[in-house]
Amino acid sequence: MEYLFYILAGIGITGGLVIVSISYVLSHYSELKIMISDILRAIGRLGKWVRKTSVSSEIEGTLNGVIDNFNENFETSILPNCKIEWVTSENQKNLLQENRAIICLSFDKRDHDLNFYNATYNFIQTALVSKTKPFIKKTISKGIDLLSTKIILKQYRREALSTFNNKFNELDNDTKQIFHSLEETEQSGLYRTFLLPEFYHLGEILNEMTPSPLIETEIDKFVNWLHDLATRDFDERSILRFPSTHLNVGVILVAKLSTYENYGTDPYIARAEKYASDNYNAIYILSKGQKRNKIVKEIVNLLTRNEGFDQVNKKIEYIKPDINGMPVLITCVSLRPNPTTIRYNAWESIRRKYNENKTVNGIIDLVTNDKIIVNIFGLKVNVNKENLSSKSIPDVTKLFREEQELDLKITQFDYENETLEISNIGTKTDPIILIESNLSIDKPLSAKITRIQKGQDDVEKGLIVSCENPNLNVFIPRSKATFSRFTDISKKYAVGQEINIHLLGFDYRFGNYLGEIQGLQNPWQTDLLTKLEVGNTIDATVKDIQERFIICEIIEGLECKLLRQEISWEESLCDINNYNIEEKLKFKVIFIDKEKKYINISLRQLTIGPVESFFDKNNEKTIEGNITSIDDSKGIYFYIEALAKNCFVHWSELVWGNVYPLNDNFTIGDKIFVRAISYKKDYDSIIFSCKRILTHQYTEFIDVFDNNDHVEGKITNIFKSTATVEINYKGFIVQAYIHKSKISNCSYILDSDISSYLPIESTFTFILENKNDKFCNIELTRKLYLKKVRDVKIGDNYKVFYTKSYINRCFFYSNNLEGFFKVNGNEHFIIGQELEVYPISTSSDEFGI
Amino acid sequence: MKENKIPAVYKEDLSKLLSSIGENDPILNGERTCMVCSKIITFDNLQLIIPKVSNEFNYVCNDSECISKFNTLTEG
Repeated sequence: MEYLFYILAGIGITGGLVIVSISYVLSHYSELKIMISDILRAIGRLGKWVRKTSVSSEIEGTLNGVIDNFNENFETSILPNCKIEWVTSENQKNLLQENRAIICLSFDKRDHDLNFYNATYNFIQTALVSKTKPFIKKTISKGIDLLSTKIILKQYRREALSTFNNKFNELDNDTKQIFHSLEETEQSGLYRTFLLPEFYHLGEILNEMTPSPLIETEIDKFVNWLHDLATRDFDERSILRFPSTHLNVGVILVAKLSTYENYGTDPYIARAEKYASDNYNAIYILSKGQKRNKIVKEIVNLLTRNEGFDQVNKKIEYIKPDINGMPVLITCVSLRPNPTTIRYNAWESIRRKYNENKTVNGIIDLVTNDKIIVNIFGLKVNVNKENLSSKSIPDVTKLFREEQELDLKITQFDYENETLEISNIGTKTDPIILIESNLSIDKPLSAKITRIQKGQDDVEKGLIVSCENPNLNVFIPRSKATFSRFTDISKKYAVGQEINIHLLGFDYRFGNYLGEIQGLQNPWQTDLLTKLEVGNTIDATVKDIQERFIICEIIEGLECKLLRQEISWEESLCDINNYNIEEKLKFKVIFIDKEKKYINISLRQLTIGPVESFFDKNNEKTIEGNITSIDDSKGIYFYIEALAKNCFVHWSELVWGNVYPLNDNFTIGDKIFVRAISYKKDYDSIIFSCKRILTHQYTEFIDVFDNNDHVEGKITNIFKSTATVEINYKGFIVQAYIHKSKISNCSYILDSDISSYLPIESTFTFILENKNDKFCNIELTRKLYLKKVRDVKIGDNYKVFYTKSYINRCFFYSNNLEGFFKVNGNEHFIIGQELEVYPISTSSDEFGI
Repeated sequence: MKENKIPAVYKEDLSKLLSSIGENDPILNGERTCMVCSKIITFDNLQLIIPKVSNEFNYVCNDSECISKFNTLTEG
């Protein structure tokens, strides 16, 4: 207003008022038109001209108001003003154009909304980005017309919106999709401030060119890119530049406050300068919220103060509702770079930094095996690999990537000749120093999952996560993300999910940090496993089904195995195919080896099976079976009718003595008597014993036995070359055996002779020859006893029994005496026949009968 | 920047315009229909005149749905 005062003072009040009036009329022309329309409407009855002018003034006034409002955001007017061109019988030949609708406007108040809608749509169709439209896909062009019309109606004539909304659903799907996509862009404040201005400038560039599918595709991609940008979630990684043939747009998002807090405006300035040097013709700086608005203004101020960039839009702030309907301040600044000024400013900035001995911020443009090209203040500078790190780098591409920001030292600078040398050695972005520094961090890092890494075979390899502070990309191998072989890590972790990680190392081959998920507990070291015991019932999930077993998981990574035979007590029901992956079932734990990380589970052992049931009923009872096969090295197989099952008794459980070889002592088909002594759950089998049917108080017997004693024993069984003996000694009963070689001192005992000498049920006196504590066996001898007790007197007779004859000798035997007598061949004796003999001499075994 | 012109006909001049293009009588005779809803076009309900090739014309009635549909379905 200050200038008005001077003008008024200079030319007088009257002249001043005239100027002010003219100035007001010029600046408020649209409003005046509407006002004129209102006045004319009131006096419309005066004549057709009045009514007609009222109608055109209202439409022109309203639309031009909208247009002025829109254009004042920009340095150059993007939209032309509109004018109603009356078609009359006189001028119709010049004005009628094919397919260009002529709107019928009326003074009638009922037609107002319709008039306005038609005029608006007609104007938008022909005036908005009109130079660009021939190059745009029809659906996009249609979407722009519809959305722009809707925006105007919504803002200036809500009543007319119903006309627009009524038939929107009849749009074809492509147009509808484009419309929604553009509307979402508008909701983020980027349609009017970004898309339309870019299309306007594009129209200027494309002017006089011929529309082509290539340009159409380019524009199509631009619309999609901008939509992705407009609808991005906070913190979502977005593509911030659109490089193409005609549209070269770069975006700087002021999103994370931490970037500004840690690095100030430098990263944003560097990014803008890089866009400029990469020939981007438009740069947009975007933000949401009040705090970021201030940062944007600071950045814009820095970029424009040296005229390196021109600000295109005047209005930079918009209030838009966020997804929750709360108003949010959108800031959008459009800048056009001046490359020559930027280049000049760059050398000035470098000189200043060099003189101040400060580092400069650079963004990598290109990475090759042995160098990088880095963008500094908009200048592109080569940095060889020798200057990239304090340690030798085998392949630069593994440690540097395009768009990476570096903190660089200026090692040599010549302003006159415009030469400089840059080094990354020893800076905070020197990769080796950085890697070592990062690896020394012992606290967990907050990271966000950016990708699930898969191999060529589509097998999940691990997670790619990005940390913000420090800014790292970390690869977490599958094994560090889960202990389970079966867990689908893409189901366990979601892209975008925040996690805490620990750094483990750096893989120079791939240029990646390696990490692990923090707090990932080895399931084999959990309390659950510590408390887990055989016999526990657990829930587990089927994870893998093989021909002979199923692998389940109790918790993630804690595997257990269900063998096929553990499915059911009935063999026919042991079918692996009855189970499905991810099926949850209850099991009984039947075996645990924590060292070998092995757990066996059973389904069938949740219930008592027929074998165990049989054992429970027959425990310690004598059971009859039939021998079905004999294995000398193992034992005897036999069939138990009541169990309807083939069973087995180990050779060591057959006799309290030596009965090897078994085939000589047992016969297939013979009966065998066994006792069920224990049940083994693992094998669902009963341990049988033959010998334990008999009382055998071995320990007690050994404790009380006097080595000088003889023992009385009853012959209980005769085997191939031994006889078993039951001894009753001091009230304790034990089972023993005697080998045929220990029966007689004067006769060679054949296998077949044993029963003649030691008939079953007969009682003899023995001397304990040997004992085996391991098998609790007692071996007896008669030979020693017979020697010790021999005491014959000439003239006495002794009662004995006949045992066998050999040539002309007949052998006899009794508890205390043995010997032979000679016969002439005519006498016949029966084995076991009682005889009376007399000694011929006291030292000879020969007796007379 | 030059102005963008919106071709329009004032309702009270409609008869004269239609006569000049030879469409007055066909409309009076009820021979013209709305290209969207096929309703007979009259002086009262005519909203859009769309020139075609060789002095032929299409019409859209003043039903807001028809106008909207014409705008959304025809090429921009």
